[in-house]
Amino acid sequence: MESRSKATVLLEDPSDLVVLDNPAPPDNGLVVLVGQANVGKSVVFSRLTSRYVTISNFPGTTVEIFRGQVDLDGETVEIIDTPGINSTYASSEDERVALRVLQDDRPGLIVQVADAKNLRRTLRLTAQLAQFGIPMVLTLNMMDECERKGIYVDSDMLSKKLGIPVVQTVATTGTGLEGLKKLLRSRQRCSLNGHEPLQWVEDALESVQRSTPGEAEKLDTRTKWFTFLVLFGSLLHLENYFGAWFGLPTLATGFQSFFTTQGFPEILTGALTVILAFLLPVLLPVLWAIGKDHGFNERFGVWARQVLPGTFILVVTMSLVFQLVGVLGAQTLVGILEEGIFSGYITPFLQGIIPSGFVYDLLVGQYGVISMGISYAIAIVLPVVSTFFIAFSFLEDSGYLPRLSILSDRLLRAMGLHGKALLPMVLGLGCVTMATMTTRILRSKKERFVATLLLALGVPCSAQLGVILGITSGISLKALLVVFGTVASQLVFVGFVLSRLYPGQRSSFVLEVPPIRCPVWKNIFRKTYWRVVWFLKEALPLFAIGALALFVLDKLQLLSKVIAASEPVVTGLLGLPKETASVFLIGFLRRDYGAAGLFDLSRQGQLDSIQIVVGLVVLTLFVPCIANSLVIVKEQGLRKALGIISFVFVYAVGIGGLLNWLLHTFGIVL
Amino acid sequence: MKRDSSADADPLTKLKTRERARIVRIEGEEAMELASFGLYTGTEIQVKQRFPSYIVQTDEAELALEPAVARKIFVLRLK
Ligand SMILES: Nc1nc2c(ncn2[C@@H]2O[C@H](COP(=O)(O)OP(=O)(O)OP(=O)(O)O)[C@@H](O)[C@H]2O)c(=O)[nH]1
Ligand SMILES: [Mg+2]
Repeated sequence: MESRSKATVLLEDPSDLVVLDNPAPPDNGLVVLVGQANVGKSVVFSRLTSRYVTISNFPGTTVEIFRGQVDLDGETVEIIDTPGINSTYASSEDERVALRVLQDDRPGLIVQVADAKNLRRTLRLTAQLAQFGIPMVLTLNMMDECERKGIYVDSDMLSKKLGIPVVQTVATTGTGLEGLKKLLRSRQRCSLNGHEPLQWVEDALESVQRSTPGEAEKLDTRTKWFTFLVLFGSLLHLENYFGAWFGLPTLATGFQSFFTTQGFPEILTGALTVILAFLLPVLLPVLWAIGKDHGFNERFGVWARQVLPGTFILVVTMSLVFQLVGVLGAQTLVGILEEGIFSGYITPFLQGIIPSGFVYDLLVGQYGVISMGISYAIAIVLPVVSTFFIAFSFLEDSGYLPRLSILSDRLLRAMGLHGKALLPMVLGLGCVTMATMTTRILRSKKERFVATLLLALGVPCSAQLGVILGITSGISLKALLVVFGTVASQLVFVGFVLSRLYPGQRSSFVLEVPPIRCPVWKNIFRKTYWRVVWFLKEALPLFAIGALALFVLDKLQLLSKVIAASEPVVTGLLGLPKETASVFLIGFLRRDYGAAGLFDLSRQGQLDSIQIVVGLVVLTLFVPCIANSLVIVKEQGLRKALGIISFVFVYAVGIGGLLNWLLHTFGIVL
Repeated sequence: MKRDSSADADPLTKLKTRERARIVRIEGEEAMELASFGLYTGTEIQVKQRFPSYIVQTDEAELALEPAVARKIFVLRLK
């Protein structure tokens, strides 16, 4: 392959090479959205096409291409959303995906979406994109943030210098998008084609003016901040406030006795629940006002990435997520749906009207499609994943996660990864399968392998996490810590060893830190909605199939044989009752299914606390579910995938056995 | 060794928090990647944080860098 381009190419794989040959491609009417990561391409795309794609406030959200149609005066124009790129040579898998579109699909128009705040960087990319010789339009997005910072861009002048149309937009509100839509038929080539870009970039930067933001804004911030502090201070005197302000002495004594009879961890969670329940309606509007305040957001963004306030913020964030997922989701909502609706009404009702026999067993028996499959999915897993998705979407959109990358960079580096790998790991808490695809944002093959293996090994998906929180909160904080401690230490340990055994290098940690942005509720609910829909589509059939499979095995008298065959491991090594084998069996199908099964067993009182802890650990470390296995094969190839899966299986059982032995030998009471 | 104008340049790791500097040289293979984030010879930067990662601001963008990368960026302090 010969390249006439000036771009230097330093890559792992010859297919990374993008030939900048200035071809004159035939116009196929296709429009491609291209630009740096996190500039708003996906918002523009979903606004233009009304198609839903994931949008969040961290670089590397989109890792594959999405096609959609724009209606332009009755005609449709095909448009593509791509992963973010930094330049026109690919250094990671997601960039490669985007650049392939330019190369292979030969679009009629490139729409470069850009963060108007960073014009220098934008124009460097413009200069590189111009080398493709494809007509372009430049969209200066995030004009709202620009204006707030007092940056004004003269887009007429810029347009003249570039020879292509330049539009200013605020994608999130839709401002300027009508103008962009009209330009989808424009076919102007950038005058930069073939020029030395650097000096040109500096020239074009003349179009930017700055002014200092006003003083009034600062004053406003201080007032809001003060209100916030006063409110938070008041939380510490909650009890007095209830007593004195609202004249509710009984409540105050109620708290008093609660605090004196409970242990410390219970007080903490109890206090948090109370605070949330009572003060959320008061706090929310204030938090809201503060969230809308950009001065505060900026300061919060700084705190969240520093070790000191950062760790505190992390702890508070985690306990809030715990409240939402572990308490509200896994306890309250599961209680209502499971005990109240499924075991309370639906199952007994169906059991009453279906005559006993084959159909009865099939639908509402021990392994009934409804009594087990559907009820696990809807009553146990759904509440947990929905609450988790809400919390997670909020974190994604706020811009908090990149800060967490910074805090965890050092730890991850010891594991052969670096801060960027936090994103797939945290995403893995939502769904390991999707997260495995996100490992594309990692640069080297080694990092992708390590991250994929760790995801398969020990990152629990949201339902599992909820079940862990839900079950252990019924035992003790110690049990929770043992489960998390074991799993986390195994992740670190395996990562540490693997990074030394696996050949190759890790890439270096360079991450753009987006500003903290106040999440838009509409986007959070939309995202949660789509994720829940996706969960139901994906999970419901599998839950039903799982129940069906157990039912068939049971009818054929095979289930007891499987259970007997696995007894040496399940009962002997792990010390679990032999019925747990069927939990692991459905865990193959989906991990959350297994978790729900364990949840059910423990609620029936069939497990003691050590068994619960061991069961949870093994199930968390256990083999990836079918969907994830398929994605691993796709991303890593069959050979490596089989290696990963068999390693994880043996390792999970080994650690479970070890834990069981340790807990018993040292007589640890949980 | 050619060190002309950048003779008294320091690696970025020598800068204190809030200090401003101009980049005079970037060594190593990360140079290309850093350039696409807006860090190249001639850009003005400010160090915003040094631990756990270096945080460097250019224009309106904040970049997190691990120390090994920061060490390869050579700068001259600005008053
Ligand atoms: N304030 C403001 N925020 C915006 C604007 N456009 C997008 N955003 C926010 O910027 C973040 C990134 O948006 P995305 O559409 O996911 O960005 P992307 O370019 O697709 O990012 P990648 O898929 O990671 O390459 C989201 O949090 C958006 O809500 C805008 O015009 N103004
Ligand atoms: Mg995107």
